[in-house]
Amino acid sequence: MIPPPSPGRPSDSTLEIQQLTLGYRRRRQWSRVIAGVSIRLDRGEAYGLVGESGCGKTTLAMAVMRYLPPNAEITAGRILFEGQDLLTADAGRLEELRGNRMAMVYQDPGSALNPSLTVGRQIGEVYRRHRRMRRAEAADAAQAMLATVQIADPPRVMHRYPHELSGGQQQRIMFAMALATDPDLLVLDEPTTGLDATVEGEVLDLVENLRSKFGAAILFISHNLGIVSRMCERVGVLYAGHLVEEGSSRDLFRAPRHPYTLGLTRCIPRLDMHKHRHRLEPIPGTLPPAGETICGCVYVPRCPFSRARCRAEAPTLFPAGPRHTSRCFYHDELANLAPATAAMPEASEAISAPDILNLQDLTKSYGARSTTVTAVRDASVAVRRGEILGVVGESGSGKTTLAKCIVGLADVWTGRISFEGTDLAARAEQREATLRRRLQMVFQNPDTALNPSHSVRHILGRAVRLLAGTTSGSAIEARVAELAASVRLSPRHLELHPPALSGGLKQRVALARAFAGSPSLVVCDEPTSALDVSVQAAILNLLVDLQETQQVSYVFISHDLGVVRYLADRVAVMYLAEIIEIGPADAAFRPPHHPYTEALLSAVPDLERPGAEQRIHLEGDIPSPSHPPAGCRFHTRCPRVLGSICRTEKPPWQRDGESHVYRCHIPPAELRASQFGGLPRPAPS
Amino acid sequence: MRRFALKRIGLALVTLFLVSVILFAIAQILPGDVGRAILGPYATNRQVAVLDHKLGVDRPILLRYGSWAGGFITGRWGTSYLMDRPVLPLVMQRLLNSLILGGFALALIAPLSIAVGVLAALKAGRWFDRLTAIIGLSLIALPEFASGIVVLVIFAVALRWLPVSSHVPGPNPLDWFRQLLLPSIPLMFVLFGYISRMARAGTVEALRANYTRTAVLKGLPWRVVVWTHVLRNSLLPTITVIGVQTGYLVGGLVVTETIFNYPGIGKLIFDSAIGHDLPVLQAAVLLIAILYMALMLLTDIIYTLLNPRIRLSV
Amino acid sequence: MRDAGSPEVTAATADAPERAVGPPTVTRRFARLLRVLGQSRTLVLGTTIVAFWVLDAMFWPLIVPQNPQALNPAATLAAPSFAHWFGTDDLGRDVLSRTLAGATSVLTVAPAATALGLLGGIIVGLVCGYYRGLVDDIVMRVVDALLAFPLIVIAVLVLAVLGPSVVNVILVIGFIFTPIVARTVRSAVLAEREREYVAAARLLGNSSLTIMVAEILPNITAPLTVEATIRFGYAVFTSATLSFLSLGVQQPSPDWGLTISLGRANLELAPWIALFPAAALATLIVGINLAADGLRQVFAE
Repeated sequence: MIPPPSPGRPSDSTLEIQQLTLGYRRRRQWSRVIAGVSIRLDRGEAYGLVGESGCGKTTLAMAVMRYLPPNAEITAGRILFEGQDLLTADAGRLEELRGNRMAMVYQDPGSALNPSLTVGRQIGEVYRRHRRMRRAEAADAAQAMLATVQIADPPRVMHRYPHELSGGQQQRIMFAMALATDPDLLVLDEPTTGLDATVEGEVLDLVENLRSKFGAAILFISHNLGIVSRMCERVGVLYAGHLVEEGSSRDLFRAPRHPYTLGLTRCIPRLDMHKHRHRLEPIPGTLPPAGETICGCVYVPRCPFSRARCRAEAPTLFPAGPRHTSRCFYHDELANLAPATAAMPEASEAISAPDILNLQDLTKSYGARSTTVTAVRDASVAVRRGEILGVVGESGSGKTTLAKCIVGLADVWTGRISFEGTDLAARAEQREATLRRRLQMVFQNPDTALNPSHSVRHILGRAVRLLAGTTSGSAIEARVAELAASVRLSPRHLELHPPALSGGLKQRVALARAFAGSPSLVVCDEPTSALDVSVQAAILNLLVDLQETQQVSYVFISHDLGVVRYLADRVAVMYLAEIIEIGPADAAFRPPHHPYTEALLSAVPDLERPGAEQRIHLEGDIPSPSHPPAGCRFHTRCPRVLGSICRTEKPPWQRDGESHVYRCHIPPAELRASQFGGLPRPAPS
Repeated sequence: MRRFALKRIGLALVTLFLVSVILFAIAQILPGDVGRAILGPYATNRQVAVLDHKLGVDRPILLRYGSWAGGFITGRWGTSYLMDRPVLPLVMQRLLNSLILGGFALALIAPLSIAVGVLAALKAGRWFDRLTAIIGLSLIALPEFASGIVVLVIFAVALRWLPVSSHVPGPNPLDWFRQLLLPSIPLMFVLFGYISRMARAGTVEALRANYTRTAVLKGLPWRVVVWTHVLRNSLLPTITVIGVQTGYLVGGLVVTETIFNYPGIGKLIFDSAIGHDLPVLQAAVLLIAILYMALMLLTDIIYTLLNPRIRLSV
Repeated sequence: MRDAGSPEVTAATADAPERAVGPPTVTRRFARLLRVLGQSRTLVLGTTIVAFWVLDAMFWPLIVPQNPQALNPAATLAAPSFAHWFGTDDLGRDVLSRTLAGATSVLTVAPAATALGLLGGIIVGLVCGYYRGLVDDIVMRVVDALLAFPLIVIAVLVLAVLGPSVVNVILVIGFIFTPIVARTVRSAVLAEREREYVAAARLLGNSSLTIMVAEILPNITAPLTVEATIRFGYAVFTSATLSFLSLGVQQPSPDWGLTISLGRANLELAPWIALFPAAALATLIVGINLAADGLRQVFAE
């Protein structure tokens, strides 16, 4: 057991959290949210704190900044900042420290900036308060800071309002404000969540860049293991308010020594995994409800290694290596575990089956006259029976609009969509009932995809009645029970209403609803993006199983390349309303492929290859869909731009192999020579 | 920006047209025979027919509407049936009186309400907040005639500090208070309730916002946070409420003016409705509708100018 | 090591949401509803006040000390005393009894008018909010036009034309409320229709009517209930104002607005005639608004 630091020793740590315990009081009940957490950050060190939603990481960050809601109570522990206890500091002292020696950057930069003040003024405030500068001086300093965070054209941006800037720019502004006074501690709370993948890559590059200029210690909070392993030297894993493992990022993720960390690494699809060869291992169960006092180890209900001792006694932190600790009695056993992926029989590689869905020149625009935005332009792609087509793209790519057009939720579009040989009308209401039931959709946000006023039984019952046409009450009951079982819901769940269900359960209900009529194609619009990684794995497994048993095709839309790579047989990449690449997942994610796909891949932080050397840098932000660039739409950011041809002429389709095409002026042979990286082949079973 | 304003004006004109049609329908068509309605059931048919012809109400309906609407636009508003005076100056004078009363009430109570609302939000949940919330709520709820009567009884009858009937005040400021204070008290109750509530709500929301958290965690003193960051955003919705309430002040004062015998446009509308004095009635109601819509438009434009998020996208 | 093949079963049973303690029966849900509502002190206070007046409106013959219509020429304009707690009016009628009895007329008109306005408003709001397009544009223009008149003015106009009576007052107030309720319903519907469960319902093949009534309507009950309570307060307010202006119920009803209007003539000599009904009216309206505010607080949590 690690002895607590003895008081009085001069510590050269920037931040030291000692045995912090805190909870919230709501209506006379006190629920503990953080339990005895100890973390130490040394000068200039980057420490990553990972955990899923509800583990308490944001609360911890707020505790450090002393910005907790009034009903929060700290019942034990100290928070030492450069030796002084923050918990006993008075308001004046806090005002001096905040924004000056300790600063924070938040998750949603758009709402964190005051919409009524110019950006320059908001940055200048920091200088005026902490450096006693006059207005003009502060403005100059602010402008200089804008250049440091790599904002283009600082003099103009100074006079802009936050909502005029893109998400990436807004986050840079936050960094400018935070680093203006060269603080000793920087707390980053999910700073890139919600940003597009390529923008996220740029912002993370910026953070690395800034680390070399400013010597702040960084507390980096995230749910994304890949990002944390890239950015931080040391990592701590938080589960239900307990720190369950801590160590260097390399050791921790390569050889985890706590069952939870192990579970986390196993349930995320890595870029070399594929559904036919590997099965994801979800973590069963859910987070314990806040405030429940638990006897023994907090992870027992979900731990595959638990024994009697774990239930009786709560483990403390055991040393598991150099500067590596684990809160598990049996952490040694994990060290000896072979890297496991459940072997699966090899499925046939190429799916040669007739087309079930065919899009030709699909174009959808919104708005009228001067404010027309073309969301999807000339999209042509086919989906074969029994296959999964993954559609990837960032914001503005048009992938969600594409989904809506296919299922009939977009009002009017031009082009042709044929499904099982029949041409589809634009609106779902205009289509035949039989077609409707065979073409269904699963939505992104489980909270709003189910009617909160209806019970699960009612939701599924209506779906069965409308989609399968069943009329007899008992037949409906039977079918509902069947559906529930197929998505692994227990009969108890049928009586509940959606607000009482967790995100994962709600998404299962949504899946059951889509399958009520035995569809042949299901469009999945980011079905797992709103879920925690452990739950996501279970849903992905379910999707794979359902596909095998029901012989159904998917159009699977996602911004998460790892998930798409795992699930999809073929992939279509979209950028600014156009499909720019189509091909088998294998081929599309390996050179030669479109420069955009190349950049997208390199921006994905992966546990297997953290800190990839050849990260592709994209200049600027994604152009607005209402003013797309002329010629090749990607030319404004493309690192391989040839010259004026890219700016003026639309790129042709290049073909590489039988079924792999992409739009670019560069032929495959040239790309094959100059592109490297891409993905490893799927690991053999 | 210009296109935005033009579009709104266009919409307002359409609404105005609808207003005039509805008004015309109610006033002229609903009672059936206008002449009969004025003369009563005991007049002979011939007398009614003569009056009808004199008033011009036996012409086809579209013609009647057209001549009325046309007359309104060109300023020929006709003569009052009951008072035998030209309508235009009469209505205008009364409108002015109401505006004086309403303006007086607003000027007195608006700053106070905003201050109370903001303060309540800053001390949300504490006694000040609770107390002002209940007071505000109760004051909104009181019908003007109830609070008017109570106030009359206390200050005019019992204490005799202020007159029972109010006239339009002269230029002397003391006279303003003397004449207008009592009738404006019921108005001030209502205004206080709405304005303070909206100021509070806007401030509470701004206090909860992420940008307030950013400002605090930048180390800015609380005073600066509230003044520069919070209030700037919280007072925007309050402006809308003030605009709407001012609209209510124009023409909604029927009851208050009746109780205090104040010669305003609300009382005029009431009297002319009862007396079937159609030219006065139609002109007065249309006028206040126009004013109300103009006020809404102005409020919208001011709000848009002050809110950078909308201003720049428009 | 537990069998990795059965995690989903464990997931299903371990996914126990904290709140489910057996299937929610109707009585259990009702009891829970009452408990939640009881947490707001404003709501409880407001409801108590309103309940008092409702009971009074129904049972006043049992509790009045004297007949509200009984004339007593000998004791006109008498000040409050032991015999007459609230004094007597210009015809010698006991003010206390008349005050207690006056609740009936306003509590007959207001609920009916509110119900009428709600019905109309819900229909219009649902249709406009769901369909949007041309229908929405036209109807909302008309609504805006109607709302450009101050409430009182329309009421005065219409009643002056139609003639004062209880039924007319109910119709007029109901008619005026329809656009206001429609506005609220419409904005609630606009928010709900963007949600994905509505899209899912469309994909299932539900008719528009089914979607409006079975899917959307149950989810807007919260703002609807608050709006209904506020409207109820306004209905009381407006009907009292109209009877004050002699446009509503007629003499010799002990209606509060009417009594206050008649009491004006004797304000200097016998202020109690107008004062007590005014106070009674005030408490009723305050009670309604407290209840509305309490409801809003409860729904916000």
